[in-house]
Amino acid sequence: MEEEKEAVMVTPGEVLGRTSDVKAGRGAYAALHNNTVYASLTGFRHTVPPAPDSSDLRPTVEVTGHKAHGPVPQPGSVVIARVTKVMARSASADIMCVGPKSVREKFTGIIRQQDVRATEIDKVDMHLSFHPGDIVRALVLSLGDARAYFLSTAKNELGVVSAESIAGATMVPVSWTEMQCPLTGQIEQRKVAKAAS
Amino acid sequence: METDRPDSQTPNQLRPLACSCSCSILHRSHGSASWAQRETKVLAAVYGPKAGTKKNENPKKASIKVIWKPKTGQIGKVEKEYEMILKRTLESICIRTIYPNTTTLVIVQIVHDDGVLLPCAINAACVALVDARIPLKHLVVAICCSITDSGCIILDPTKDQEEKMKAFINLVFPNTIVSVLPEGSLQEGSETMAHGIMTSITQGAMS
Repeated sequence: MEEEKEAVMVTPGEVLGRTSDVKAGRGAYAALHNNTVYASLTGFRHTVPPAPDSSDLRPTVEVTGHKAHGPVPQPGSVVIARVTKVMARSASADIMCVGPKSVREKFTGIIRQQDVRATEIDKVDMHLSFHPGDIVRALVLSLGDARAYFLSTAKNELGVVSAESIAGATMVPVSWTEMQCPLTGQIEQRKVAKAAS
Repeated sequence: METDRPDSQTPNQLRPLACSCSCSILHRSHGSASWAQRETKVLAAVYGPKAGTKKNENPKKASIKVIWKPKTGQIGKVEKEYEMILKRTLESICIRTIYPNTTTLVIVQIVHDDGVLLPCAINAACVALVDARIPLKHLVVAICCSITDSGCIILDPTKDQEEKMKAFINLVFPNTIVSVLPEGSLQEGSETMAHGIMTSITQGAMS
């Protein structure tokens, strides 16, 4: 099954197919009361064939629009954030990117003490894990409260990816808890993210 | 039953539409639209989704906030009512579970009012949401009908006509296959039909 050659323009509410024949992808939704897939965005309809190893043989129908929508953090998504404030039990951060895309609105995240690392969570010192201005890679745990999303760095590949030393230089990771200033050689404590190999 | 109307319009005829939907109308908004029905003109702008919802809103769903800006002066009771109607109408067409704990702001600026203001604002807001790529269940179309003292029904009245009417009604329909009559068949081909009127606001004595 090949992808549709000629894209058809659709608007929200237009029928894209039956749930028995197609799966709803981006820009589409399935109405359970009548088992119909509808468009939820204005754009061009595309049918993506199922993966060869997939057990579900239904193609995915999606609507791609004329302009990109700003991403919104959702539970399970990996975000890049800048630490703004560090407190005894938590650190606040402004989310800058969701996956590979930069956000167009300001979203605030909170990294709680118990979400900094996976082991010895009660011994975590927030001031030795993050500093204001650090760029961190984190996972969105949940929507949190009305003010902020709850973020976690409790994985090897999550944590500080870029930090400035007191001297103003970008520090180099030395271990998973230390970063070193290339100018002064001074070592500072951080919860360092493992570099992608 | 004939009724005199300007520009030799028939009672069941809409005024010419001049709808423009483009990001270039307002550069800093995420979606914007200008909707004009002859002399009535409304500008709508959408900002969001932004993080967080108000205390009394459900954080598991996206919230919509509507701000109505009149052409002149402060907003009064009527404008507050329009805000509430618009908010409820837009909430019913948006898929609010996609971006939970976020707020989408819709600002409606009245440029000129020559009748059918609320339907014009609903149409403008819907087009602005489409332009902002907010996921919608379906599109909506709003119209206004009015009833004269003689019992004649006029579609899309002007401001002068509105003031002389015994009553008028604003109706909002979705763009899905609908059955307005309850006794109508709820099946058309393979698609299930929905009951058609989403929002209905009446003013005056309808009988």
